[in-house]
Amino acid sequence: MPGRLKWGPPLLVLAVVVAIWYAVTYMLLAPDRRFLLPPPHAIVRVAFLDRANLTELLNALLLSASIAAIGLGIALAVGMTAAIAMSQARWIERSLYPYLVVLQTIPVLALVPLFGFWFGFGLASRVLVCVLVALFPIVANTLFGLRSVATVHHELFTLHRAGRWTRLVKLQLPAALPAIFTGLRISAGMSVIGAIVGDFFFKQGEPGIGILIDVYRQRLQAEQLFAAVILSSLLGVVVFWFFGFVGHRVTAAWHESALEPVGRDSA
Amino acid sequence: MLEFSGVSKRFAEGTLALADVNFAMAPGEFVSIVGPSGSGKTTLLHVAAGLQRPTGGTVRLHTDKVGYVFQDPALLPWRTVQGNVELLLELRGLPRQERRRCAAEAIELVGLADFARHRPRTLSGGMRMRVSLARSLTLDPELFLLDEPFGALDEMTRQRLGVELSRLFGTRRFGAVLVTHSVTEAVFLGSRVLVMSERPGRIIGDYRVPFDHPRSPDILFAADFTALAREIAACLAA
Repeated sequence: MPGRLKWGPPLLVLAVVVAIWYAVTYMLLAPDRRFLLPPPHAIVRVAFLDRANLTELLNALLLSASIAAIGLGIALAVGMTAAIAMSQARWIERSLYPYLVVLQTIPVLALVPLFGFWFGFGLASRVLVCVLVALFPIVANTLFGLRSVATVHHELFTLHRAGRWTRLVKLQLPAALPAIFTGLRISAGMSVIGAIVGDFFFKQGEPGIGILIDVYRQRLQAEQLFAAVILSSLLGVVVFWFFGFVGHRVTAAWHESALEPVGRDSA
Repeated sequence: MLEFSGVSKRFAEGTLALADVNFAMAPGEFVSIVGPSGSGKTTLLHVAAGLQRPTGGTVRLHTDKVGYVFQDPALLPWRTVQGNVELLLELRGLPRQERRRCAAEAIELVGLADFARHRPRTLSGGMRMRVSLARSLTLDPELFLLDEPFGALDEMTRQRLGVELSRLFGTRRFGAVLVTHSVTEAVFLGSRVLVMSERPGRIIGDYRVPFDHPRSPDILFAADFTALAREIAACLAA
């Protein structure tokens, strides 16, 4: 597809949104109420072109990103271990899965105060929130991937007397890679949200982007508030895109999902 | 080489798939088994390979060098042709050098030397089947169990692979049990054809095929070939 066609439509949508934004700011809002929706150029000027403001935002973003990354790393290690254990024996799956579902369905905000109680309001609790929200997609997708190996492949390995370990390493894990990356991509986005939510709730320690959002809200610093929201969503997008890209690089040579769809956009 | 005496197989849910199957094959014999679908042909091969246990009778297999070719080529999509052909040797713990050499030899034998670095998805159905054959060949099997290996292929590819298999059999003289629902294929490849009944599967016909391997597609039009095929088809329909 030529570049113009690929980038044209989303840029057009962006232009329309910005136009509506300006229209609302200058045509609907009275000048004394414009802080509710400052115009885009004001956000850029105040938040991104002012060195002090920008530094504050970027430091907070970096902190939130590191917390999200640590949480995601732990969730990946724990989640894959759990999924592998469950794939090896039904009784392990039957024992663990219900609690994972419960963990997934408890609103995370209900648990956050407890974490504060137990682990204090520092880094540990914030990371734990990320682990909690990122765990389930990794477990569920990895388990699905490990289980979806074709029967005929299992028969091949059985026929040649492959042991559990060999079967796991040479058959199940490679076959599960696309599903693992799908889980990772979802979890990475969730982890970023977890970092911001934890931050927002604990409101203590070095400020991450969540704390800044709260501070800007209290001080009615609308331009910075908008900048913080934009940066946190950008972080989510970048992380989502990054794991999509890595997953594609790893599985592109062989997996269907990585192939160009046939018949779509072929003109 | 392989001997079935009074073998029956009933599945857990109650279906009787095989009932009193008896036959014995000599080393270097190519036995085709032809039967209607659902007659238990695949079950018979599974039982022979030890993938399933018979519920009655005994199976005697006088070699552990068995190659099994599934109807699905069962290639691992993330491995290259070379990697797929090496798999079974890898499972047996052979050193890398030796694996490489054996696999390269087998790939050469099925005529895919130029495609060793390709992944399965870039190959045609017939080529994938040849990779699957090459993978089994690396074990230098004394007995090949072939479960409708060409069932999913188009007529032309089927015929070409049939000729190649006959050539391989002519030079290597392994024993083979081929399961198929095509009478022509059964006669073209087999040195002997067994006919199975509808479920529960029993052997209801046993025919010698008087042609030497390797066979050329020309014999498909020979009078004695068509006569034998007609006789087997009649037995199958009865």
